[in-house]
Formats: sequence, C-alpha cells, structure tokens
Amino acid sequence: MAQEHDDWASWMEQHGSSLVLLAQQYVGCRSDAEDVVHEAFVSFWRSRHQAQDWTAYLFSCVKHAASNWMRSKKRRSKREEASARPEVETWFAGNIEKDEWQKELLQVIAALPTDQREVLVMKIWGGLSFPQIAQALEVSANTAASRYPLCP
Amino acid sequence: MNEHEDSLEAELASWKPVPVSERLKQRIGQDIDQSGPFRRRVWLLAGTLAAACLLVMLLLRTKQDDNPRRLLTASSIPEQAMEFSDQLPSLRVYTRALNQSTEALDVLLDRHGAMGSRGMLPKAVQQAFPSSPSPFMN
Repeated sequence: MAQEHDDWASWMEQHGSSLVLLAQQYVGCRSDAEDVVHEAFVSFWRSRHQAQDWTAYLFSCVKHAASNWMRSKKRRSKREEASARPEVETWFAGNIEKDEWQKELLQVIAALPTDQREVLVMKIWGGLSFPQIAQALEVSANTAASRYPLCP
Repeated sequence: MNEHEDSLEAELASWKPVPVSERLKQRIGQDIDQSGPFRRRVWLLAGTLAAACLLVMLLLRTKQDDNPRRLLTASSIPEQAMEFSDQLPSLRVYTRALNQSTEALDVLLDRHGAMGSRGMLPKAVQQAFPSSPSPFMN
C-alpha cells in the first residue's frame, strides 16, 4: 500500500506529474500550478497522518490549494487571463500536438467543464478509484462516477 | 460503444503528463526537510520558556511563603508593638537592658514590678512570678 512509503520523494515521483496536471485544470498556467502543488504537497506531508487514504487526501489537498489560489484577489486578474487561454501544450509530454487526432482530443478535453476534467485527471492519470475520487472531491461515489466523461 | 471508450481510455492513459520540474522538487524538499528541525527547535524553545516561567513562579511563591517569617523578625515588628513587647518581662528584654547598663535593668525591673502590682501584666506573666512572702512583711 502507498501509505507504507513514508518518503516524500517517492510520493512526489509517483504522483507529482498528475498533481500538477490536476492543478492546471484549475489555474491554467503551469508555473502557477506548480506553486499550487508546492503548497498542497507540503500541507499534505505535514498532516497526512490524519487521513485514512493518503492518496485521496493528497489530491484533495491540491484541490483545496487550487481553490484558495483562485480565491485570492491578487491573482484574480491573472487567473482570468489564464483560464481564457489554458496552456494545454504543457499538459502532456511527447508529441501529442503533432498528431491531428490527439490534438483534437486534447482540445475536446480542454473544453470539458472543470468538474469533469478533474475526475478525468484523477481517474486516468492519477490512478484513483471512484471512491477515492469521491473522497478527494467530498462528493458521493455516484456523483464522482457520473462526472467521468467516459462514463458508459 | 464500450470498446470505443475502453480504447479511448487506453489512449488517454498512454499520454504521460509533463514530469515535475526539478525546481519544484527542490522547493518542496527544502520546506519539508527544514520543517522538521525548525519545529523541533520551536518546541525546544517553548519547553525552555515554560520551564523558566515555572521556575520563576516557584521562586516567587517561595518568597511569598517566606514573608510571614520575615514579619516575625525584630526589624519588621512595628515600633508600637516593639514598645509593648518591651514592657513585658522577658529574658531578651532584660538582657538588652543589662547590655545598656545596670541602671537600665533596674529601671526596667522597677517598671515591671509596678505593672505587676497594678495588675497590668498578663496573667501568664503574673503566674510566672508568684508573689513570695516578703521577709519585710512579717
């Protein structure tokens, strides 16, 4: 179980990239997303023993840190600017942008509502189950599943 | 439909999110690694302060407890009380009078004798000096 790893670097190695991707769904800009993950991860590491499921709690910390970031008045104008033009090109590594089909798919994902994108990121790239996503988002498991864009 | 979704899911899963920058790892590492010793130092400082406060409180309390004893010392007895206690017969008073002069002791003894005859001395003192039949009375 992941809880057995009590080394922050292992946690960062395993979840870091998907955490930043999740933060990008809220704040748009990559550097701001890294700031959010920085704050969230440090907060998670200091208080992780309070949580039963550390992985779900880690993603929950990112969600909360991003919410705080968005609430900040100082950053409001910057956020509006960023949300108008999300940096989708910084979401994934590799040559996704070069493939026309992948490029279109990426645009479709970017156009999804935030509550669907967050579930998609947690499920596909975070590797969380629907109960874990529900815990991270503080919603029911059914609600979490219904927000999954690839839901059958 | 499900096959299509499964393949779509598989395709998306094959996309790898951009790895975390080294700068972010360093920042997190600094915060986490520094927070341990810093917190320990804060707790140590708080503990030391608490112990110091406790020690000061104990010392103050001890001094307060000492105060009644200090009130009983001769220097802290009010002047009036001192004079009153001088009027009562005691070994200390007689010694002090004798240290001054033998005349002072005589005066004091006379005064106490007069007070005793007028019943001005406490009963305990009067009983301490039972009146003996004077050889001149007979």
